[in-house]
Amino acid sequence: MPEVLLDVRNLQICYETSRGCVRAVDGVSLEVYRGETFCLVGETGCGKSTLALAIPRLLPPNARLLNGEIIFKGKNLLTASEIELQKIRGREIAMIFQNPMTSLNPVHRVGFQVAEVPATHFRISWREALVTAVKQLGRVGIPDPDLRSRDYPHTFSGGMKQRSMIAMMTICKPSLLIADEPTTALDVTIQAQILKLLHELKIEYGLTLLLITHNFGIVAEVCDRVGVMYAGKIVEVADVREIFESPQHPYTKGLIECVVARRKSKSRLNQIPGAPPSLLSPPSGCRFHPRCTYVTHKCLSEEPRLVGVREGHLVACHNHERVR
Amino acid sequence: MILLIKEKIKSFSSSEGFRLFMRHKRGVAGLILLSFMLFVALTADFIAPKRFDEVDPSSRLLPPSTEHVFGTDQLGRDIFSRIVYGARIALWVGLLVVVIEAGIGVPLGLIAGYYGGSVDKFISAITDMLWAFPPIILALAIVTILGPGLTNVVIAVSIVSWAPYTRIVRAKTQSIMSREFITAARAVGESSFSTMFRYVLPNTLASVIVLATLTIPSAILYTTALSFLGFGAQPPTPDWGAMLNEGKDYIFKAPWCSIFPGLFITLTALSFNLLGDALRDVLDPKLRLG
Amino acid sequence: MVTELLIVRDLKKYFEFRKGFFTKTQYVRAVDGVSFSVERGTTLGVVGESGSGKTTLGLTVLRLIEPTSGDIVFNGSNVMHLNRKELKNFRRSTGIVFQDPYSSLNPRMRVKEILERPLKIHTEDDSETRLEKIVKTLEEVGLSSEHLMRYPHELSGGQQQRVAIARAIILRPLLVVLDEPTSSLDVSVQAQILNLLLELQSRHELTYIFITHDLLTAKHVSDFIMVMYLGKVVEYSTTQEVFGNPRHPYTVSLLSSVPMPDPKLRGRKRVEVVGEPPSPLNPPKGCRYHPRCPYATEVCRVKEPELLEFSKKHFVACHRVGELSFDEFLRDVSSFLSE
Repeated sequence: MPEVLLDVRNLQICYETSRGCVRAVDGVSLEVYRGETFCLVGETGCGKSTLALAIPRLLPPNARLLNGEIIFKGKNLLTASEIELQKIRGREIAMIFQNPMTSLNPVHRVGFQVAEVPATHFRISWREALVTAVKQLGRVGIPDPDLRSRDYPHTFSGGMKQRSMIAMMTICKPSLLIADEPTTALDVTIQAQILKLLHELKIEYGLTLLLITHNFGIVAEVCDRVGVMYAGKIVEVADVREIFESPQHPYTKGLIECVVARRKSKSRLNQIPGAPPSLLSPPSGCRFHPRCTYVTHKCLSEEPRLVGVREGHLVACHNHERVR
Repeated sequence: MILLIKEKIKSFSSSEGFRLFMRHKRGVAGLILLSFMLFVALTADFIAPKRFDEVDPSSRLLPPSTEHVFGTDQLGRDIFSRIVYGARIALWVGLLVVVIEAGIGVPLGLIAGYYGGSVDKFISAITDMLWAFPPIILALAIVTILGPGLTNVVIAVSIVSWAPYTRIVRAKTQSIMSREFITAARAVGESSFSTMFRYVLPNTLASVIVLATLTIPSAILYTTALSFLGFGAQPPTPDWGAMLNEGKDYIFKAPWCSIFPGLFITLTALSFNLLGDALRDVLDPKLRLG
Repeated sequence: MVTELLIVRDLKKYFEFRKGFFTKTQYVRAVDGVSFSVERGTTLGVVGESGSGKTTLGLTVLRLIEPTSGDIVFNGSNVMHLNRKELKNFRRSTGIVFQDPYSSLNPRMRVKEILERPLKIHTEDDSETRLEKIVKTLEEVGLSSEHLMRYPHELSGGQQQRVAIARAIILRPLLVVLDEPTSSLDVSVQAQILNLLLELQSRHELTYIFITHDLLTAKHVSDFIMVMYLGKVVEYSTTQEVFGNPRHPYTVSLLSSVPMPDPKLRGRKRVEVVGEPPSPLNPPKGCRYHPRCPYATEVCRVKEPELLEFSKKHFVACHRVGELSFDEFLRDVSSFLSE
């Protein structure tokens, strides 16, 4: 039985806006096992980024926690004090964001920013912290790390900035690394390098990786298990091969079939009709029902619960047996 | 035609911008105040009990009473009537200033931002040079040549003060030029002129409106200052600044001659400021939200 | 010869970059001698990463950026030196769609006005005819008259892109340049838009230049593929050839780097890509790819390779083109890509 590192239970988060409270994450339960790479997949507005930010409690001020728990190493992060959280962030749980251009502080040298992390969490001198930082920058593939650690972020390319972020976030060997679309803003060849780096570090440090992405190519390349989100809910969780070979939720199936490479050139791609629903007033019953080809009467009134259909494969759909 | 206006008003009042504006209490206050001034200016003929130049030596320097709500000045003229007609002048000054300054500044800013390069350098240089020119001296010069008068002074001041408009429109234009809808406009066949006025200009208007509402009060104050110094409005023009000038000699004997014009100058400037603040808050985030 | 809608010869676009008052002017060689042709009714996919010059190429071909030198022959006529009227006609026969749909629409114009402008500029239609054409085009792109009075910020990303596409085709152009038209859209919306583009192409016999960094999307829509690196073309052939039999190390490294949406391909052999793409201000001497190429030899460091015809309709710019074999990297991928 794999050890559960992160246990999200019935999480409900909404954002307060002038038009009401937008339910970005609406009753999400999830388990991430130690040592795995778990991919959270979904399109814009499904809530995956909100879920990711909720874990280290980095949500914006207008976010309201309505319900739920996030258990990490036996502690509920949502009720932890700010002091406890500061000890956890960077040390136990680390996060990499999508846009490396804006994640680094432009007015501090790169080495300084990376060194700040161990300096804060460990009882070491500033000099030791800098040495560690330079070493880590070298580990993530920055050439001439000693020299470059004294440079400012604007002299770094996008790929190098992202590597620096990774250095910063792995220098304390955290247990959980959350990466929110870490390669979306990068070129394809650099993307491959970064993914390879993350994989190497994962093995070397025994990291658990929670990867947020909308790119199924990345999912196929790096993930062990996949969670699919739609309109603030988790609709399917399964092993990566299962997700590609036998998806049980109509949305998952639809998404995978949309992916370009899997069709003959110039053929008509499968498309999911319509658009994602408003999170202010989502559809009744199953949120996907207005766009679903397998819809039945039950789907309009009753919200499907996430149930296990096979070993390790969960689906929230009344008609999953018919999905082929 | 009426239907079109009604529809525009309807769509405007239900728009998000309108709702956001109404929440801004100070802005609404400014709007109300300004509307009040506008009302006074427009209905001056009906509200004013006396003519603004009606001299009555027997009623000199009378304190406020039921007959003379704001009292009388040193020539026995009813101050209330003069204030009321003065509103026209103040608003007229505000309008004229905006028309001249924006009329010169905005197109120059557009052209400088759109073409860039040496055109931009040339326009920016001219703008900065004229901005450095002290308006009072120019006003003096014009007054010497053309004779004194409020309109002349206003023109003198405005003609060298359009720089803020040029600068803000130029900056806004430069940021707009990097957006793809400008390239798309050219791809569709739009001429440069058309691109500037149909595509760039409407997107700079928000900034211009905010700037206008914030520069009008300083223009009013500036011209009232000039009138105070004797360059602007000539008697018997009931310009508030001129009234301040005339009242200064009687400030202890008859303070009402100065209090009321001063109060109205302040209120008018304030109303524009409040309105401008609110407009800026409404128009800018809306652009961001969109 | 007659079937080629667009012929481009040795196109160059250099941007001036002046660092200081006394330093010599440096040039960013964004497009540095590119030649190709596009047959009517086909799609040319232009593939590359940032700095490759692909976007500059798209804009230069339409003369939305003025070329530094070269020839562009469109529909039989050289469009390098046009008077105002001829340029206007050129604009009428071409269209462009950008990556960021919101940024490409005037936020102060309603959909109706956005689509009306091209008609007002190029036709003598009266307002009724214009409205008819606008509504018809809206319906073609999957929208309707209900969207006429909307502002861009009131539409979703997919809808905005549809409006941009409508604007590009409303005058029935011959050539449309598409610069990453689906990159900022969600996966399900991407599929919708790609389907739409293919449908419009077959219905109106459109010719596309499809610029993208996404190899898989390029493969799906293109008949021919042109791979660019640092302002130069490194490989150019039919889609089948480029994906089935790539001959340039960079093309193979791109194929290696692209994450393939099939878990079975996870452990495949790849070409390792080292280093970062160099700055277009100071491209490497010799072959521009040599610092990152695992197959670079002495000649690669010194002499720039020419784009030569390796086999029928397959052009490669590599000194070692005949010697290198990439089978080991392509085996698994090929079958996946050709099913």
